[in-house]
Amino acid sequence: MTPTILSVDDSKTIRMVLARLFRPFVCELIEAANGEEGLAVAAQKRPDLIILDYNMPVMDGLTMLRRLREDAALKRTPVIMLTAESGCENIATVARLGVRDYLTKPFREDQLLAKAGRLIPLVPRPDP
Amino acid sequence: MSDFEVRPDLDRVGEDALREVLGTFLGWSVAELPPSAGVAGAEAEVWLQATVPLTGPRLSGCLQIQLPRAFVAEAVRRLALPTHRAPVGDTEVEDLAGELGNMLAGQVTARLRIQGYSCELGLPQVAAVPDAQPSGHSRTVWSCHGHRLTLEIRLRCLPP
Repeated sequence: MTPTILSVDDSKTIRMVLARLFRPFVCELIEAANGEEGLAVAAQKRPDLIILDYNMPVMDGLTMLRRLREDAALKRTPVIMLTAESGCENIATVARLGVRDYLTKPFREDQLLAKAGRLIPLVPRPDP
Repeated sequence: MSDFEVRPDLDRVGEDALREVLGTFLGWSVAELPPSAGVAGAEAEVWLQATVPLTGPRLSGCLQIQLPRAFVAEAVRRLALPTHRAPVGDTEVEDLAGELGNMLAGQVTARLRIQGYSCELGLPQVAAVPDAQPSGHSRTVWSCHGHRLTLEIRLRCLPP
């Protein structure tokens, strides 16, 4: 089955970077621009992995994460948190909410792929 | 870097943050230029300014970076191709300018935290500016990928 990845970030650039990064792999990448939109998309699509920004307008990543954990259908969805802030308090807070991994922006693309690959199967797309 | 009773080394903090962000995210190196280099020749360029508020129990202020639009457009192409083939528009350029400001501010807060100044980031604000603003005493000027950038961290800090 093709894994679905939900990218939630208010930055279109970051969403484009993730689209380029996961393009060589068999997966479906879907997007949302804030936590509120992310919750709606997650409820509809049931992603296999969420890559979630911390600092966003409308609804931030921490609030979205708390809401995900309250939802019986989504509470076990693995989440990788992306954030510009690297404080220990932030790491501890999101770890308590079951975040599987955490990357500080600017992140190395190979590190994000490695972390994602530990949570979902990343199979290279066959050559066209 | 005005208004300090105890001064974190903001020049060093800014330099480390800039090298980390542009090096890791774009694979581009930076070199520091003399302050007067920020204005020369800048009139011909369109500039974007990203401002990120920084607030904490013992500090308040902001980080401000000024970037030529052409530099940011090149960065968008570098990051997004080959998935994004459309011409780079204002939305993408302003978005990336804000994101670069956000990442820089994140790196700066991490370094300030080590020096005893915890703080949080606000959301970045991006505005077009008519040209590179004249260099203030706290502004540093950088060369990156054939363009000139300026970085300024303005903070009011209380002693630890």
